[in-house]
Amino acid sequence: MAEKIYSCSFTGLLCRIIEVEADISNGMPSFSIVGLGDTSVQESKERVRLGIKNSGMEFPKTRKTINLAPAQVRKQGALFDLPIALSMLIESKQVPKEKFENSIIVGELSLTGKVNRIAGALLITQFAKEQGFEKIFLPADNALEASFIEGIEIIPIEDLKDIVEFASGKKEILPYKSANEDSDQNTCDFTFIDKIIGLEKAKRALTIGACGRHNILLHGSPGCGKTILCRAFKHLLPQMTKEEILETTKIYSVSGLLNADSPLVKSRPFREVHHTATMSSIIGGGNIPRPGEISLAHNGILFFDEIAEFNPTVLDSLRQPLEDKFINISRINLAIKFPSNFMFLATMNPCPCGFKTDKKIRCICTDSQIGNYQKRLSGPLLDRFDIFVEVEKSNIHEVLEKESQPKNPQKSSHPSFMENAEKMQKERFSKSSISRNGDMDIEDIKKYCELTQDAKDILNRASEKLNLSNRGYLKIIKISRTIADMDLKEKIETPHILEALQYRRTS
Amino acid sequence: MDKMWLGKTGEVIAEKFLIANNYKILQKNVYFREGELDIVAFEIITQEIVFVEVKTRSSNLFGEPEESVTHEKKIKTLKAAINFLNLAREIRHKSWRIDVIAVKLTREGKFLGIKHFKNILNG
Repeated sequence: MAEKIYSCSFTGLLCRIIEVEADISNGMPSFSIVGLGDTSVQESKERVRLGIKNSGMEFPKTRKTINLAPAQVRKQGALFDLPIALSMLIESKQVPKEKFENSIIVGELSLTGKVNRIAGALLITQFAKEQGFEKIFLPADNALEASFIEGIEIIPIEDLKDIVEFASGKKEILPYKSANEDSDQNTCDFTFIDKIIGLEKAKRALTIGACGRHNILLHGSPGCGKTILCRAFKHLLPQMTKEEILETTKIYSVSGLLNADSPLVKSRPFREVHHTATMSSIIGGGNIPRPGEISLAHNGILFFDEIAEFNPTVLDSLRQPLEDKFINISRINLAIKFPSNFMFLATMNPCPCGFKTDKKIRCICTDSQIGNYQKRLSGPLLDRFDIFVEVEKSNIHEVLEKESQPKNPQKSSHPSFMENAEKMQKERFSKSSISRNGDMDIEDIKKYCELTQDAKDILNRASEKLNLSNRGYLKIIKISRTIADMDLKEKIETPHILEALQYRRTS
Repeated sequence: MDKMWLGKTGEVIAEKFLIANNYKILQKNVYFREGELDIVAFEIITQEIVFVEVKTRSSNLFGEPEESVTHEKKIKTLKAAINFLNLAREIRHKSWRIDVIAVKLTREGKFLGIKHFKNILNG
């Protein structure tokens, strides 16, 4: 009689229940695992054999067959070690089965019998709960991460001996209860951006961007502070909601990027990518697709420093995910959808030498050089940036002098801006699926963005004069909505439109 | 204790075991370039040709005797069996199988136990 226990596998963000059955029959000694497992599944034979032996139990000597069902689904990863070992111990009557009814078992074994951390624990726990399982047995190292999901009993397993003693009633393992959630630390920290002196226009633009999640492109001469501004910017982002933490942590979980110290992604991700990055590292990919940088930046920021140095093909592959907020990765075996709702932040120089917009140093580039440089960013990609800011170099003497002075009291008004915008957006989008002004589509804009008559006139006049595209027109409205939110205004007024118009592309 | 002697003792025990279980011994120690056959027997009940690989062990330190039959050894035995069948016209039409007989002895060579694994290639 083959005994059956349940485990779980995942591809991308999609889980599937896997039945693990073991059969031990008389015959020549052999050990085979069937069910389309990859090399790490095949190698689990050795881990299971030594894990069982070194935990002081008997590894059956006869003919052993493990079946992972459904048979046609490819399975990968070492998370079947524990269920394979257990099903074998159950089949050889060394362990009673009763305690494993209605539960999912996952875990990787080490040769000593210790149960090692696995990737994707959060995802699996959530899926197990949705499927109506009562219990999940998982590595103790993953318990904290998994405890984010409520409504399922999480049983942390230290080593194989633990679970065997638990099953035979010799030892009690209490379901894991997460310690009270960490005090909500306010992630909005202005000290970093306040330390940067001058560059007020860029700071204002970044604040707007942070409030409404608008994509920003900064350009300016080398050394003017673009990169520093962007790095300081990550401290400006509003806190993540519980759903956002869950979504982002899931992606990190399947990528195996979580560890015991940081089991959850609690602050918004800030992914800085070097310009040598390949398409599949950014978009996601591989034989079995893994999330790329755009998905790792989900609910956070994707930062491209020196965007003009990136491979143009890579940049253009961002067009679709920027618009759709998800990416579909298709491979011959399967297609996987990863969310990629990020804010895109980039910096660039205006020309190869970098000084085209500088007031003091003369640019030495020829017109064709400048043209070629700017052509590296395609029009459609540029069109997806909402805010364009030219960063002007601030005077270094000023910077050094100001440093010694007490902090400018006027700066403290920033946080209230952000709180206002947070509050307004929360109220506005409480019933809809989006959460930020930057995510609004045309229907939402019609519904939520009411302009005063004056503002409407100005916008229409401007759009005629400046030949705004339709997308550009909507973009101005979205940005002005955010600016109005920062002022706690229900209707968008003239100053908001005028400020938003400043941030469009000038060329 | 001598390895050769160990092997021979095992084979003798296996032979007696087979005869006691209604087998007829056709030939012993058949060598080919591809491999060898310890015992070729004929099972009277099932009317099958049986090629037997005998494994003898005098200690359990390295596991049971049957565990030391590797995949390569199985293939070698199979090749030798096919060779044998090609040469022996009168039995070519009969069904056949490959068995392993594992013999366990003490260090001093006393008989401890015997196990018979039938049809190891697809059973």
